[in-house]
Amino acid sequence: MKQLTESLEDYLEMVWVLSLRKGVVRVKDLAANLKVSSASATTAVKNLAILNLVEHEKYGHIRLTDEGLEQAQDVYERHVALNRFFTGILGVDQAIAENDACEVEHHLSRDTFNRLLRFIHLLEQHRNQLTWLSDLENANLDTSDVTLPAHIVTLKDYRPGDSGVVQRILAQGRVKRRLLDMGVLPGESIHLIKLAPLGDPLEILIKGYRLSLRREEAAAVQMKAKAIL
Amino acid sequence: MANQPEYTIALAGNPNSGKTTIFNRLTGSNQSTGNWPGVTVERKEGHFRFADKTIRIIDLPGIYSLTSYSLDEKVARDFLVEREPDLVVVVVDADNLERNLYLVLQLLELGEKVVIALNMMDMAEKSGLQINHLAMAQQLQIRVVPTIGVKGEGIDQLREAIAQRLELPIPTPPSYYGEEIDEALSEVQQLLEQEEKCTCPTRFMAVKLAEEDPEFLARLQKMTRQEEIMEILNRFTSAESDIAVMLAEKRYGYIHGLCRECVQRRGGFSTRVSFSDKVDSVATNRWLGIPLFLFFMWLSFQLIFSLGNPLADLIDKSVGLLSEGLQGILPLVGVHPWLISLLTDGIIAGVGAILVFVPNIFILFTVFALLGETGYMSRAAFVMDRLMHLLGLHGKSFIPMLLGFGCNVPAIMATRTLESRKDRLLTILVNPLMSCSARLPIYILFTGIFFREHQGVVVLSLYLLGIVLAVAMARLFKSIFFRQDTAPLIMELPPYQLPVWGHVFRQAWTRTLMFLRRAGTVIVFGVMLIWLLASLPVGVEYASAASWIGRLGAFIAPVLEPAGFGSWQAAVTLIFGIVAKEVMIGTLETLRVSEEVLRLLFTPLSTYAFMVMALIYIPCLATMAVIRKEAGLRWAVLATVYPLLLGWLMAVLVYQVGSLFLG
Repeated sequence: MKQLTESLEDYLEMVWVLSLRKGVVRVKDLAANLKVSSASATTAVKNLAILNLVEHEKYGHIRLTDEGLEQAQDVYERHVALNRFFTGILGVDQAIAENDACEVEHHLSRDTFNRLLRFIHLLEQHRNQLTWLSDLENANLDTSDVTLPAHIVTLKDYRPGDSGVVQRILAQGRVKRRLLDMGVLPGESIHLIKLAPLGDPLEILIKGYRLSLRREEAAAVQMKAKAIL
Repeated sequence: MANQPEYTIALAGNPNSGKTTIFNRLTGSNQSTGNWPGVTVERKEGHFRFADKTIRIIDLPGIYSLTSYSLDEKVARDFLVEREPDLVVVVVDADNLERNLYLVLQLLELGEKVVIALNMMDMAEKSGLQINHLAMAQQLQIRVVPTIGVKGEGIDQLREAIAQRLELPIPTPPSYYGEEIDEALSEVQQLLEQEEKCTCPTRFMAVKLAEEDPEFLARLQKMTRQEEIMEILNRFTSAESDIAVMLAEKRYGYIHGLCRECVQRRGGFSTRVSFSDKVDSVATNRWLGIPLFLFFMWLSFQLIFSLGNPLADLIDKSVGLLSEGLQGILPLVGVHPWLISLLTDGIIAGVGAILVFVPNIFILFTVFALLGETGYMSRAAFVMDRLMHLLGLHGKSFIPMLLGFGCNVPAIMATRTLESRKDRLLTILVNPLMSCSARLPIYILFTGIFFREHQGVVVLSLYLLGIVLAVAMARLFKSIFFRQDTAPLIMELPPYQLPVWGHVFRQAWTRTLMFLRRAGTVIVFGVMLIWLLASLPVGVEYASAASWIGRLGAFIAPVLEPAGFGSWQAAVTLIFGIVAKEVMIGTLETLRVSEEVLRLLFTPLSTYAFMVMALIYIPCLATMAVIRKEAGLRWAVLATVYPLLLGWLMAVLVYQVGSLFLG
């Protein structure tokens, strides 16, 4: 594969994109889509032709050579991979992602960029094994609350009859100390028995005894899963 | 006798582990009750003898842990660390082993000599648990004695185990933290040893720092190596966990393993728990929970006041008769009238003022001991917490507030069930705004004269005003004194059990005696002071305009003018009301204020303002005495001053605004 300048890569990529979109590619369209002058576009196409990546046809039409097609697809693929990473995983807005992908592509050294792409590919390949990815996705839904994403299930979300396992204690200070002392620990099973007549506090079964706590305190007990027994 | 070795041991255990029963069984009648120095946590002490040893036993408050969460835990911990008892007996509920053993581990970590009383063995057996106490003893390297406190089984063996263990060295406690944490803890320990200011056992302090105990973190602030120490402890901090969580996990993990080895479950099911569940399916039921609670409250109220008041009246009448009799007889034997007045209006009236409370308070403490022993008290808090929390109070504050309608003295003593000092102080401060039964006669007298048509509504409005002000003041005090601090509710709901009547009455009686001892002096002193003011200068007619109290009344009267009742009689009545609210009616009599005079002194509007004042203005002497005893002098002063200001403000407001409308 030939080493191209950033600018030539852009031209090559755009030739391919336009050929997919319209079938035929003209210098005029190329210039318009890349927001450059026709003269610059003509020079770039000449250079690509010298590298044997494109051919000039009749009526000013431009066609990718087989080598050109391969290289254009590669460029495109990398561009899209970055775009997918920005939108699909980080949750960036499409328009911003498009622009940032180009920026990153051009400003990173080729080596770093290639490594980044390899990482993104791996990430996508193992997507299903990476449970935290879904956490990240959910976290992306709510950018305002970074510390406590909305989807975290706590004991407060439980209904009478629900059972589950404690994931971690979110409280600090004396609520945390008291919870720990009373045996409310990560890994411990909790069964929610009932709510008080006025809806608060709740009564739970833990370590074989009954404990009551307010919803305020229950919100500090993050639960792993919710299973109905 | 003299050269017998004397030992001091402590009795510890979770609440509801049957600790009181074990204590009573161990000491029999050789016990006394007092308070821990400086705090109002009850302190019981007793002794027993075994094989030439006299063993003094201190009953620590029921606690779950040695982390200073509540006053009880702090008291227990300070005793263990500072007084270094020769041994600690831990009462463990065999039917709730895992959580109960947590305290045992903490005590072992503290380097205490420990003997376990494995209590409620019968309950555990009924639940299908077979506990191999010998294997447990082997594992923990301490003596484990199975007991059934209520039946007195295992007590002799417990005494023997205690006596034997006292002679033996402290075994090395089990280790369960794992290399990494142990290493970190000993690093911290080494740093602490270099500190001059570290006075407590370094290992204990290292653990407490890891547990984020605020008391020890505060001590750390004064140390030069605090940053290094925190750095070591923070090594374990991750998104999921930190060293405090890990310590608890390791402890409970060790306990879990221990129980797996020593406890066999025979597939049985706990009759105690299933019985408890049945009761709870009614007691904390969604629809029945609150009505049932109200019924129990009504019943308690009836017991305390309907049963107590006739007895109180009897005492009141007897005291009255005694002083009348003396007033009749003594002049005949030539005793100076001034002395007679001192004896009857001063001393006898003062002592009578305290004795009058005894029936109510004794019944109150009996009912409370009953509610506590059976396990209903925590259910009551469970049921009412939401409402009380909205009002800025705690679920357990409801009962004291309700009792306030009967008498504020037992109501304030009832705040002892509140764990958090802040909740307790709040409840105490606003309690006098609940219109007690002694204020009712004043309302009845005045409304009978001025609001004959709408007596019920007017009296009810006064009660409601009290409640509204109590809620408002609770919110205000909370925002002034206890701003960021809402006490969490993380409360055990213990299985129900049948009360042991012996304990119930014993507890009620010792508490009543304590009330007499502490509040008595203040009340007698107060009554004497008022008597002196009413009798001086010598030769003046008792409580007349010329007496000091009359002059004081005349002096105060202008201040009361804006509220519409600026007469010296009204002022003197209010001053006498400080002794006890029911005295106000008698005062009007003494001052010869008849209905006709009342009509001259008061208008309907100023009457209402006066009743508002009487509702709020100052707690009676007994209430003040009991607040001083339960909360300390500073809070008692506040509880005296703020109602005075609030009462005056409200009375002025009522009179001034009322005047606008009524022309």
